[in-house]
Amino acid sequence: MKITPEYDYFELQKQTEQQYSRKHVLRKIRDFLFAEPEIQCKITQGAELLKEWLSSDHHKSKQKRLAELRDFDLEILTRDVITHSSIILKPELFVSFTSQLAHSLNFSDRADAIATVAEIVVVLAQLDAYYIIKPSREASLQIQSRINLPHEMQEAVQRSHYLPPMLIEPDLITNNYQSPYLTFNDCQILGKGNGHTGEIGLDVINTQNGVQLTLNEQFLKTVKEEPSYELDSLEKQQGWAVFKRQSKDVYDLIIETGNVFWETHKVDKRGRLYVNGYHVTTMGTPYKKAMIDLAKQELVTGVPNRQRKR
Amino acid sequence: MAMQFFTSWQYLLIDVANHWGLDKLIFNERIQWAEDNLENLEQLAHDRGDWKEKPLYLKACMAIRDAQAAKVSGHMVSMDAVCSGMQIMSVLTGCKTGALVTGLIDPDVRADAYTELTAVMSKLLNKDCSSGRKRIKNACMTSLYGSKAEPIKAFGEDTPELNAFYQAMVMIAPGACELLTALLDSWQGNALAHRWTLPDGFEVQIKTMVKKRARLEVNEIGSSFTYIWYENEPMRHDVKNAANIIHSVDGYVLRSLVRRCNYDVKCVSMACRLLEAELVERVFADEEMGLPCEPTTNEIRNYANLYADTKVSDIGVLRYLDADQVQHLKTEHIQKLLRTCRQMLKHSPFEIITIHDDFKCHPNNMNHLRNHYRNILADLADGDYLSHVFSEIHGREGQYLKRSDDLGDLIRRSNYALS
Repeated sequence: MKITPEYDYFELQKQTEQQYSRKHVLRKIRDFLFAEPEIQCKITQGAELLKEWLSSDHHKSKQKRLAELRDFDLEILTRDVITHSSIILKPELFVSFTSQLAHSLNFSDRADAIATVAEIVVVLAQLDAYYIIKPSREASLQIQSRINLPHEMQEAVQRSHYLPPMLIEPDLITNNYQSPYLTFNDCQILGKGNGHTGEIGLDVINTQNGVQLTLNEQFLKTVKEEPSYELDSLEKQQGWAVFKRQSKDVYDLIIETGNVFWETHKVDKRGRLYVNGYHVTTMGTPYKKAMIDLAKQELVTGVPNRQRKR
Repeated sequence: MAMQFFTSWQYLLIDVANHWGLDKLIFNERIQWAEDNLENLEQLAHDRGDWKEKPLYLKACMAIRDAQAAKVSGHMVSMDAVCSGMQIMSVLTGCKTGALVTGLIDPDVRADAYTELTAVMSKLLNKDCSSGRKRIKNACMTSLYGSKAEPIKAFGEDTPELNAFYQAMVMIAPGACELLTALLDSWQGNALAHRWTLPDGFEVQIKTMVKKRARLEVNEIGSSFTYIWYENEPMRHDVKNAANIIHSVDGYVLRSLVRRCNYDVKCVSMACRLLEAELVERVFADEEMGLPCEPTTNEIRNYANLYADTKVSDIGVLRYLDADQVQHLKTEHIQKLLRTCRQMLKHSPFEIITIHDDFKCHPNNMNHLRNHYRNILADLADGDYLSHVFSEIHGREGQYLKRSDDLGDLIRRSNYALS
């Protein structure tokens, strides 16, 4: 698809964000899931299962812990578990899935939150929305979705961690919780729980976000992208193939839309500056670094006459 | 010899030589290598096979061919700080010995602290340690951030090699080693967070996160699991301040470089005029009158206070200056700001790309980038940032005694701060 000069880049940027941003992808999945009568039925059923489980006999300390669930809407809780599990396309450790989910429960004690979420996930396994697997006697428990998401949604899930660079000049950021993107806000300090409203050098983030970049097409055509690690297992080979395909999709998107892009940046809690990006990034492998040029091109001065080739 | 300036073409030649692996040579030798091989650069790569930086080398070759054909180019050349952590620690402590081995003093020598460290260890142990340079480099980098495990991993526990390593570290970078002790001692065992500010006002806030581990029973599945998570709690001791404080300073260096290279011409020109006018005014003013009472804006107050505390002038203040506000800055502060403004106005603003201690720009602008980088380090060496940061962390005024007060002047004449 060649973009005509009249193409609405603003709209294109919005579409790209909708397609790649994890928040948007999760929202789309939620919309898709909850339009399905079968899932609706599971949610109602799940809330009933939780209600029953909560009212059954537990030892004293557990009863005290579960009392914190009194104010929770059990349908919403079930919906959250189903949504988050639906994107577990490959087996993932039960422990890491439940720890991440525990973040969403505002329990006063983190250990309590983790234990409760683990129990909820086990109770809701009866809905057949996911498998809880133990591949071997020694292996750790794993979880994997049983819901068949449409292919394009599965693809979107795989890509959703990494937004491509921006195709229009990023918005100026004026506070630490704003983002340069068009459709969502985001804390500009990396890492969960590190956000604050103090000075973080937004002027520098804005300056660096404003650097117009381009892909060097000649380089992409003539130099092959090779892995920076040994492909010594099937898993690594498959991972590399996916990464290459996704990278090519992003290169094509940029080139077809005029080959100008902007990278966005964040700082860590110490003030080190990082690029947001994966498939196209000035902070990546030597290949990724080499393929990026400044869009503002200039003649290199000082070439001796004897070295010139016309 | 002072700092060498090169043509844009020569920067392309340095760039291609760097990616071939010759970045430890002096600049002229790198240029010579590229000139000698100019016709065969691509063939050399073909014959060599694969190496880590090959894509960057091939891209540099393309940029050279474009330049020869007089084609415009957006290719960026890159330069890295020489042993960044040790370099910054030496600057902050006024340590000339450490500055020497990180390219900040002798303009004729492409210094390399890791090579120097290897040589000193060889001498102390009376054997050639050069085959272990990679190991020594890793031990050096990590030990300056407080790691004891990595040097042991490299040299073994209680071995002559480990002793020689620590002895050599003190010999080549005494300021950095002393500072490391102070950084480790700055840990606040009762604090939920460590907070400090950089000379541009950047607020570092680092919560103390304690690793928790528990075996949780899940009766519903008849199983138990070990969970690990982090809680915000005080911790009696940790080494994290060493890396965090030094990384916060390299973040500051980076921001300063971005601000000096890619500046707003209108804002800096205006500020320059205001600063010049104010200095002239003060020459004729009655000294007894002193400064006007209090700044009327928070921004000016903050920058004036930061300067008073750190003695490092930051150009972030320029955008807040007007004829009234400039009066609230100390004369010495104004003089330093003016010097920086004049350096900036010598060139048009240009874009740079940064990766912590690796800086890239169009070859036409690399002279200015290198010049700004060493000036930023020189400004830090002139200042008293460590007194400020330790006062903030310890919660009481204190002074960190630097090893010298004239390192800044030497850095301003250096050549290999970036290489």
